[in-house]
Amino acid sequence: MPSLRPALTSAAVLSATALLATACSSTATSPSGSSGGGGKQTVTFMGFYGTFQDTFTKTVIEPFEKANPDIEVTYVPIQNSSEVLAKLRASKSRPVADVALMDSSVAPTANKEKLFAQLDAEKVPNLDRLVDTARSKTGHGPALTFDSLSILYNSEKVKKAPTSWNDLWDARYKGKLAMPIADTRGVALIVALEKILGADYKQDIDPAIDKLKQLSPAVQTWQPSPDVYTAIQSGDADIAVGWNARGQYYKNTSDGVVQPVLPKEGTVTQVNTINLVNNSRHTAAAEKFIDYAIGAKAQKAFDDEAYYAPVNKDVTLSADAKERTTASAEQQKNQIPVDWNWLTTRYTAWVDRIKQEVIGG
Amino acid sequence: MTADSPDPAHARTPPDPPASAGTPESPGPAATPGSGGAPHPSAAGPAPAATRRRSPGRVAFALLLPGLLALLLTYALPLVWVLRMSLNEAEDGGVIRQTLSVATFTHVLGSSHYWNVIGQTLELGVLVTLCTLVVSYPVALFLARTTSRWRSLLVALAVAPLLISSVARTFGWMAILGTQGVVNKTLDGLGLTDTPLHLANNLTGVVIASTEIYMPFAILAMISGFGRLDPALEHAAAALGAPRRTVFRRIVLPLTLPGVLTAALLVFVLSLSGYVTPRLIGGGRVFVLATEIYDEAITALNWPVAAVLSVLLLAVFGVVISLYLWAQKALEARFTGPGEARS
Repeated sequence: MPSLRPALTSAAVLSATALLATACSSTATSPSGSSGGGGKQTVTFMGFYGTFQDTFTKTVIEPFEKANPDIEVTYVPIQNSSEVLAKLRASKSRPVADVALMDSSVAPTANKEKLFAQLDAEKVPNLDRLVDTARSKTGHGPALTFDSLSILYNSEKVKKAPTSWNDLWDARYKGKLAMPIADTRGVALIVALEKILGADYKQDIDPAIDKLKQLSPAVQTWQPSPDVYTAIQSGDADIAVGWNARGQYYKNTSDGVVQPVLPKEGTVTQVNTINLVNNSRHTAAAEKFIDYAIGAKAQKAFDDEAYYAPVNKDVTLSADAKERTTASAEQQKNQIPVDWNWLTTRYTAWVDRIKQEVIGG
Repeated sequence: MTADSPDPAHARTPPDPPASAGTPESPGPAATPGSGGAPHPSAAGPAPAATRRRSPGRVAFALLLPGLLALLLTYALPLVWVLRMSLNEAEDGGVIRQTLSVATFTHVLGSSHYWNVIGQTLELGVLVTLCTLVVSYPVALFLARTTSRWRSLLVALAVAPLLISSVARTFGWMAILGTQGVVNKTLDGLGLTDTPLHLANNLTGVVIASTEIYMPFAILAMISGFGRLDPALEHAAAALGAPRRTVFRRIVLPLTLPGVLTAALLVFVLSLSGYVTPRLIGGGRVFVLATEIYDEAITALNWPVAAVLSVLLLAVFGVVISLYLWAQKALEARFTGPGEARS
């Protein structure tokens, strides 16, 4: 887009007024309503790659473009939140994206560095319809998805389904465990274990670390390749921890070989936030897009297919999706509260403790 | 901080840590001004001669210019950027504080964890280098000496694995070494073991896979370094009554040492900066500098620490290359120095 603009401008100078109008609307920061004659605004959206991209494009972006013919959304697939952070840091004054997804443990950093802008509730009316845990205390981007940590197992090898976090310590699984916990999953697991052990993760995480140390000899791999879901599917590992949404996706594609379980003690929610990039040149269109994405219609369409819990109060998921996410009545009762904003400052220290004390680097 | 799903481990071709591009190899810039400037003061004689002598330098410089510019852009600038980043400090949550301090260096060098990482990197490098040399030497020796008409084909076969990405080959080794792998299934089937051997997801797996992956490099380096090896010398030694073992010890081995040394350097440096194999087959237990740099930059968002580790990796490279140059000189001295003195 940026490389096109000089060409567009010179073309406009040379030729008709119709072209001039196009050039104007593409640089306009005023509300997109002014773009009358076929001028399209492009919102560049950074989101996760793979199945997330496929489902999000189908259930959110395409309907949005249909409803807003003057806005086009370009999807830039990214590997993870730190890639978004790196790209936005490198393009502060002329950002390479207008809207970006980011894990809620990274987003506070981006907010602090002013990479993301605060949202105006008048421009994004759906902010009012969000559940409390989806709101940003600082007025920045709200939650777009609620995922959760679950136990994964291979149903061909494990006959009695695990139901509790404690089942990971079952001697039957010795040498069959895949525990990719040197990242956000480990941080979430510590929060869950602290709750089970009756401790407070804001005070002292020694109980959880000690508990994990006992698990250490039973672990086959701390870093299954290429990822934990395929390791369970292929039977390399019998039991593991992983993210629920992706686990549910693998459950469908593996005909039930991969089984994700939301433990009865409850689980910890992982949040991806949707953010307006500071200095975006398409703020109005970007706000519209964010508003649509957290709206009831998009949330239902996306979550029913991708197995995330909704961030919008007005959404009722399909029975299937409800049962398989934390939107179920039982899970709602047992949610383990987590303060990701606070955890941002402890994240590295916790991961270091997992690496050095539990894995033993 | 992996978000929704994408594991760092999932990355097929993970972004190289900045330092892995840093096999220090820039004699270019240093050599040019020296050779261009040297004739200057000495050639105070006739002017035409001086210009004639100076112009080849200019041509050489002009010829070097594109390469130098490319090096500057792709090597020197990123290096400066990494050095600059290593002098910053990280705040909670990955916020980078722009400053000029050695605090991050002191933090890293004062932590036993990072010393462990450096130790394990060197340990892995030494183990892989030794294993690779042991298994590659006979192959290289055979290929260098054979007069078979299939020689070119055999050499091509020896380096053919390079055509397959090391990621694919590592996955191959995981299929062979895993608890469900060929080796363990066979041992189990023969009733030789009750519980599977732990061949993958640990240092053993990384050493085995790395050894195979670096073998073609070692073989190539050795073959090209075996130039001094002359069958006539072996025949002469044998004709003078030396048994085969003595011929190998006194003639073949010393003559092939330069090639072995080059192969050792190559494999050691490659395994020091290797990322893919430790990451994929290490089971998260093998902490080496390359994987640690990635983790610090991507999971912990601690760019200053990642930069410091990159600088340390570069420093290790520097030491290794100096050791190599010293060893090479010592070796040359053994061949030529005393020999010349005697004759």
